[in-house]
Amino acid sequence: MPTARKRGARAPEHGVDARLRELECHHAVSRVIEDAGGVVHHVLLATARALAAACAFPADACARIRLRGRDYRTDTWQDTAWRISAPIEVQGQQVGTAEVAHVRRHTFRPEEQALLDSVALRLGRYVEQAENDRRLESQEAGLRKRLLHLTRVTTVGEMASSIAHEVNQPLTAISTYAQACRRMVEADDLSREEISRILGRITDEALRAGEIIHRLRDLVRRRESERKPWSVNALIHQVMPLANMDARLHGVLLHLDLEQNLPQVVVDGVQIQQVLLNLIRNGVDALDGQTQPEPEVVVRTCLTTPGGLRVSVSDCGCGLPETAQEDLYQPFFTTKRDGMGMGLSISRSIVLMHGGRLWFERNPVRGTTFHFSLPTEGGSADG
Amino acid sequence: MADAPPTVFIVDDDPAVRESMGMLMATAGLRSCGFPSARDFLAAYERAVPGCLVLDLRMPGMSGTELQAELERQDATLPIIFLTAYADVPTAVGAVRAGAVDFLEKPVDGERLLKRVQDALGIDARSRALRSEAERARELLDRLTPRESEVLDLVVAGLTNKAVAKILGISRRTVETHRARIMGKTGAASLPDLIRIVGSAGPR
Repeated sequence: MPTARKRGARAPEHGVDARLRELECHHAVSRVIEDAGGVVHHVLLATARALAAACAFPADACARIRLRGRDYRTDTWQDTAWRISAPIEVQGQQVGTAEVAHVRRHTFRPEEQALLDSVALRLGRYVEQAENDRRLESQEAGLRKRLLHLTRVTTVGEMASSIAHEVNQPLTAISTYAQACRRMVEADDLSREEISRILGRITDEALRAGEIIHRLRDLVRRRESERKPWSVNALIHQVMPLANMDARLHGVLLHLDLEQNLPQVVVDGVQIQQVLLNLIRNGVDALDGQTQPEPEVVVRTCLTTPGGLRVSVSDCGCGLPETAQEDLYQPFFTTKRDGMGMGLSISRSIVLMHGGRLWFERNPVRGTTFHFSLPTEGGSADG
Repeated sequence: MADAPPTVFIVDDDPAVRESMGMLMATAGLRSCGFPSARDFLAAYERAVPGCLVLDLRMPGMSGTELQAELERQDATLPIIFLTAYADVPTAVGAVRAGAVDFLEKPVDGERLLKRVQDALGIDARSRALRSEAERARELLDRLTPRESEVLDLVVAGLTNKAVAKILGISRRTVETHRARIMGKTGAASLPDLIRIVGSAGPR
């Protein structure tokens, strides 16, 4: 206790008064630590004020807290000779000083030194905690970012053969147009208009191949999370070329059933596309090996309650095993032969981070539908 | 219909691939017709039209190999050249074993594709010719009476008139009469000619 150093006979009212100021000071520090929510400079400034106010001559007292080379002081601070100080330590190392000074000549009492010591000790612990929290938070954010990126890269890796097929189509068209054109030129059987038309086609196809590469690069590029207003239908349309690659390779048709004029959502577009791609690819995989005449995955959007919309991805595939329910969203849980089991776990955390929800239901006849909800911009559902 | 010009049926879900392939065929003076899916092709296909198929292996809906199996089931012997984006060796081997003419990787060498298309059209023409010869032979043999058919079987098996007469318990004279009728009805000029007709009609 700070009052332990109190010694000698003092007037009792004096002792009570000092004790009261100590308690007030500690209380003020506790309150600001709670309220400031980890904003260290708020805490330090408020503590300096509380320290000055706790002095026997508060009108003549000022205080300064130095932490890692930065000062937090009362407006009245003066560098006078009449002062006391206490070190602030983090993990046994001095990182700063707490000081109280008098602008006029007054002697500091031992209990004032004791109060300063105990407040400095508390500040040390507080700063240590706050710095740890911040480090952990930024580590966690960094890890999350890297994980999201890694799973996108993995997705692209898993889609390698689909991508090969997709890029090969425009390349095939380009090469075939060119070979046909050359044969026509050699046979002298080609008009200027014809040449111009074929060259136009070749250009279109080359741009198409480039577009596929762009989409892939957008998906795997390291990037900062960026939220802005998006039309969810536009995000779906943009991800279709990628989703189609996989679907085509598995002989599955993708069908869109999108509600028009939906309000916008404020989201990280790439992350939501990552969720869409995951769910669509899951649907396509569920259809693999099924003997159906027209295997199909349907993507639907609709307005739900005011302030929210829903995206649903349905397949008519093999369905989920009864036992899958519990573990479905666990990392590394997979029912696939060559899956990594990150898709649903990542998708769910992305949707949660956007203030939405991800869930599934078994279709009445066959297959599974995954839904996710997103809050619409401004929570308004007028669209 | 049998005299219709041969057509190269191009089945690929990519419109630019279909169009460019069609142009390439045209440079070799070949008629072609494109379909965006196996189903569209099946719906439009008339077996009497000679030709061959240039077929993408992987397509949404019915795949190339599924179409191959379906044509097989319908007893349509259209020669198939498969195109694929990447070497899927087991599927390729399976398709060729199931009778595909060839398996080319996309992007394709145009000259090679044209060569294989010409081969395929040749195969189709020959099989159609064989088929029509067989049909004609069967038609001729259908004109025979049951007794004449019996005589024919034995004659073709290499038996003399005497032996045939003995087996069927009829006179040699009657066998000779039957033989003359058989030659008349089938238009065969000689015994080897008769054997050829029976051969092309295939097993009854």
